Amino acid sequence: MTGYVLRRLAIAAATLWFVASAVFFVAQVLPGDPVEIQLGEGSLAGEAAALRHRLGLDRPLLERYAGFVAGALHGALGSSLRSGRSVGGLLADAWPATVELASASLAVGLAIALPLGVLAAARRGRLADTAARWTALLGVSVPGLWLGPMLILLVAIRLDLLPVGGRHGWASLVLPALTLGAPLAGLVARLVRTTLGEELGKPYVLAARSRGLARARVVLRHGLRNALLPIVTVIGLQAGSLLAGAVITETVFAWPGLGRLLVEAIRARDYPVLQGAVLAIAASYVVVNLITDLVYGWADPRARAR
Amino acid sequence: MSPSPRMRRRGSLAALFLLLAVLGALFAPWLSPAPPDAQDLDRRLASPSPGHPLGTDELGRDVLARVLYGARASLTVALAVVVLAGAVGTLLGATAGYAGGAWDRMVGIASDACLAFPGTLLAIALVAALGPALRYVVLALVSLGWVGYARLVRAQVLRLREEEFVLAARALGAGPARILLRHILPNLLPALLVQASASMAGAILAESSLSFLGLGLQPPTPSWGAMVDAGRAHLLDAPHVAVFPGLALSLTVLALNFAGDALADRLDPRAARSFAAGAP
Repeated sequence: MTGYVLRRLAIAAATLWFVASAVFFVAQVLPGDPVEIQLGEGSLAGEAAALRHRLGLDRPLLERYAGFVAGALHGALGSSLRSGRSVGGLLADAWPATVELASASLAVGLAIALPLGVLAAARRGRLADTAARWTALLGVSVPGLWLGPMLILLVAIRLDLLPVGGRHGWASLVLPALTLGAPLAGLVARLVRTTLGEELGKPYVLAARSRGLARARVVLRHGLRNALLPIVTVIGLQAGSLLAGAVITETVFAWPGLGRLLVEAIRARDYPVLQGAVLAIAASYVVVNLITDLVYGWADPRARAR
Repeated sequence: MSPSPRMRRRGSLAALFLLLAVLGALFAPWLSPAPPDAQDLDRRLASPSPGHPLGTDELGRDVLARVLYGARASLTVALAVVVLAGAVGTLLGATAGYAGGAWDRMVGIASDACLAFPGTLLAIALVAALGPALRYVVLALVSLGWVGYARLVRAQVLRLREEEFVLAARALGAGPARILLRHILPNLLPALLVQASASMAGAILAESSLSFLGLGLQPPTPSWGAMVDAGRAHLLDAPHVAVFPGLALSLTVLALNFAGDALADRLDPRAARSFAAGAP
């Protein structure tokens, strides 16, 4: 297990280093001079040179790269070209909002998917099965960029039940969590239906039933327990995607998280913030995947051999 | 096992919808009540009416015309991504699976690297870096999309290269290129078709997400994602501006998923993805 953990840690570290390097070098070839963006066109040459020196842009590329990597390791990612605030501070403000949204979406997605998937597997061809299939299909087909505005239109504007956007207490979390959690609900409902369905077809289930155990007990205590491992893995992988998927949802609901920070940075060509937000989302994704891998390796020794 | 009648009916309905979408995109100039960028400032945000069946947007442009022209953008990007990602992925996956060794490991590392990073974020970062243009959107989506094909093709080639018909061709003196093109590739087509239908739905969603964020096709070229984004400001007074392009987008993706399932069911019932199918 130690070798497996070390291997996974090395892969995660390599991925982060790769992402950080890509972010740095892509930013170097971007159109638009950060000094010009900050000072505006027609600035004085002396003023521009001074700012260039202060930002360290007059140093050689590799020296700046080494400085960037060292800074990133310490959480020093420069300051916003727009507001002048430190990128680390902006990320620290936005990160909790994204984690809150992703966690709530995970909870909403699972609260829909698990009962629906279990009912669908236990009652093949019945109403619950049809409902699960449609949830799965709609969940993966209706994009958040449309589902979000439609929920705002129906629930927030027409029915006036919940706030339109922003982050003000639990009520403002419901619609964004539903929007971001819907694809997850679809995917997991379908997976539970399939894997649990396969388990329920196995001889040990028939044996348990023939010994007189209640149907619900057989499904939940025996079938679901054995079907859980692949389901947990997919949930782990999807949890990482929720962080990245939050970009659209946060934009729709004006949710002040990393995704919205990233979109605003793109629109304002605020490259230090853009770099920091991409790095922060990628790092969260890599860490969630790492945890999933480690849990999987712990639960299923066969995975460690791969 | 043949597909169930319900499955076949759904597959046919989905195929019919997709055919209509393609025809709508192709014949947009003749089907549209007005040119997509013609502004009628006196009739801004007008509700659906006989003159404008889906209403008008914030600049008085016909929403139906823009939905039809938007289909052109979405379908063009999706088709380009599917063809290019399919070609790159198949080439890399087939050569990696057939040749093995260092090349196989290199392709494996490259595909793992792509998967270790959230795809949406990579596409956003790439287009934000390169600039919002159709070719960069396609490039970003191809640079992510090839992985699915490469992994699928590699796994299939590993299995097929040990089959007797391949061994026989090799014994008769056929070279690797001939074996791959003439003997192995035709056997991959069903799996590739199923993968293509799934990745086309993914490409349409990704393109609309980029357009929604202002990183896809630039105004005044209509794009479903950008239309929904513009319509968000008018949910209160003119919801139709956001409703119809989003509906077109969702129905197209839904139809592609249905069609993909039906295709998988028909071509290889054992490996059916069963989004909508009754069987696991």
